[in-house]
Amino acid sequence: MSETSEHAARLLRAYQAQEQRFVERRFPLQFAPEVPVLRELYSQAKAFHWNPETDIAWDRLDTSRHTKATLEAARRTWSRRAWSVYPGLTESTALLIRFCLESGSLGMDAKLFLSFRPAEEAKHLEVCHILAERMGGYESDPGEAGLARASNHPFGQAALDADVPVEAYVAALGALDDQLDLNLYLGHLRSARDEVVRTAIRLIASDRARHVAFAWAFLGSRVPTLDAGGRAAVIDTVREFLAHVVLAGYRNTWLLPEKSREPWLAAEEETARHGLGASSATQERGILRATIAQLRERFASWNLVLPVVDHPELGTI
Amino acid sequence: MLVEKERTGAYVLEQRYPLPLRSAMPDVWELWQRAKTLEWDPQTDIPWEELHPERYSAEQLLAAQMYWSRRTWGEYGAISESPALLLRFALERRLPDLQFFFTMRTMEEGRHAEASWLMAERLGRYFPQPQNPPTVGAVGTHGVRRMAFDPETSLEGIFASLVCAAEEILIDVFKATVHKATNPAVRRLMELILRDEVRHIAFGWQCLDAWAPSFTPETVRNIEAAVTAMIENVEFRGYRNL
Repeated sequence: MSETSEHAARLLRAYQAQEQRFVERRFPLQFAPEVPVLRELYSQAKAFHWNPETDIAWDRLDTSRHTKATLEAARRTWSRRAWSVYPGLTESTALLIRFCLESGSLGMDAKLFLSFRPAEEAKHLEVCHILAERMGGYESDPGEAGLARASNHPFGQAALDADVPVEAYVAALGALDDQLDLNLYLGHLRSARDEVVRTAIRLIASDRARHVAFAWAFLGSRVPTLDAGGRAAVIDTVREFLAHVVLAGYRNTWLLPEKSREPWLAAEEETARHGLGASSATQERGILRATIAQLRERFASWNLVLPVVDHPELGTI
Repeated sequence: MLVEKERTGAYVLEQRYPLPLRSAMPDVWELWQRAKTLEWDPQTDIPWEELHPERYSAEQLLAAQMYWSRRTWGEYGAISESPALLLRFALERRLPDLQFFFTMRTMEEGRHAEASWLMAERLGRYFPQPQNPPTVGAVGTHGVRRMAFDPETSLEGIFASLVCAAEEILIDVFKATVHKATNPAVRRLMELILRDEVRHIAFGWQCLDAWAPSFTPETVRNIEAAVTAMIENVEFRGYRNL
């Protein structure tokens, strides 16, 4: 067995062990809506489908207007973005399976919504790939250990971990990470001047807004019913995620360890300057702070208090 | 909690890079492209106003309610179980075409489950469970999730048994039934499901075709065993036909 297939076997066995901790009770299998807002988000997903190949006017992307250096920057930026989109395919799939294993006959609203999400993530991935290719070529490897590590977390496996309450998982990856991702896309949209890039970002952001709405609506339906342990798990998981994932540069290149930032950070600055789908570090800093403030406010409505987090460069957040 | 477990090595980390995204299986890529152009919505793309349940006897309606409820349970398996195959593709770092296409398959199966449930409901009633308890085991699962996470079960065997054999049976039953559907709403629904299922099965055969030149005698034995097990333990036990 090759080293690669041995590693794949280890991964599969890890998933297998987690799956075996659940006993799925499938019947009675309820389909009627339980949380109308979640069912509505599913209905919207069906209605707002789009196709990266045909709904973006790729032939209008005029790369000849940009210098070689700018295009090199943009292809790097969109390649890095593709790496950050890719985990969504497996994470949302694993979360769907978790719901099916755990909720038994209930929770159909969330299951139907999540049955759509992997395809939406795949469309976003296709957009990032096409943009990187059109700007000069998609890069398939960060080529630097620090960046590779910061952009590769086992969150798919965590979705199937019975020790991680599903509310805590959705709070960390949905309410915090998806929300930050959405806010960043909206920031990139404000800076983007190329019409094709703007359409691409707008389409991705419209899906992402639904993903974020799902997270908040799901938490709204569950958090009020949690006991003290469940509420503490939500807070602990979000705090850890913020301190060790978000602030370690999972979404923001300027937060990566200094030796891992280049050439990616310079590429994002150049991409932002030329309106090809990025924000400057200064703009992202504001977005990050606003996102955390927004999360704290919404948590406060459930009497959940997210403790402050210290960061060597940003200080106390 | 989740991050703490990652930091202490409780999870196995994927080897994600290099992450190729360019299509390497043009036929499968074409299926992904086609699926995106053929999305539909059970709520709006079925002529429900032509269903007219009032035209049928109580006995006929009960039979139809039971048929479509049963179909719902079967389609649900493709939401609860088959998506594990997408995880397997990613963990084994299979070609991107497989991963892209399978995301659409999961979406489509969700749509089929919703559509079947809606049909039962609009015919008067959806039954949330089999009325005869022993049938729960037969209709409840085809065991693909377990197979997908089992490194000892070859992917080729899963494809041959689920994506090809079981889906082929499903599609043949559907083909044999759709032309008998005289009710316009039922017929349209069956046509739309069939259109998706044709792509699902094409995916299975195209993958096996592509992999076949590299099959070893052991792979062939795995495929034979998996298909036999699917027919004997799932189909013959009444997964689709009581």
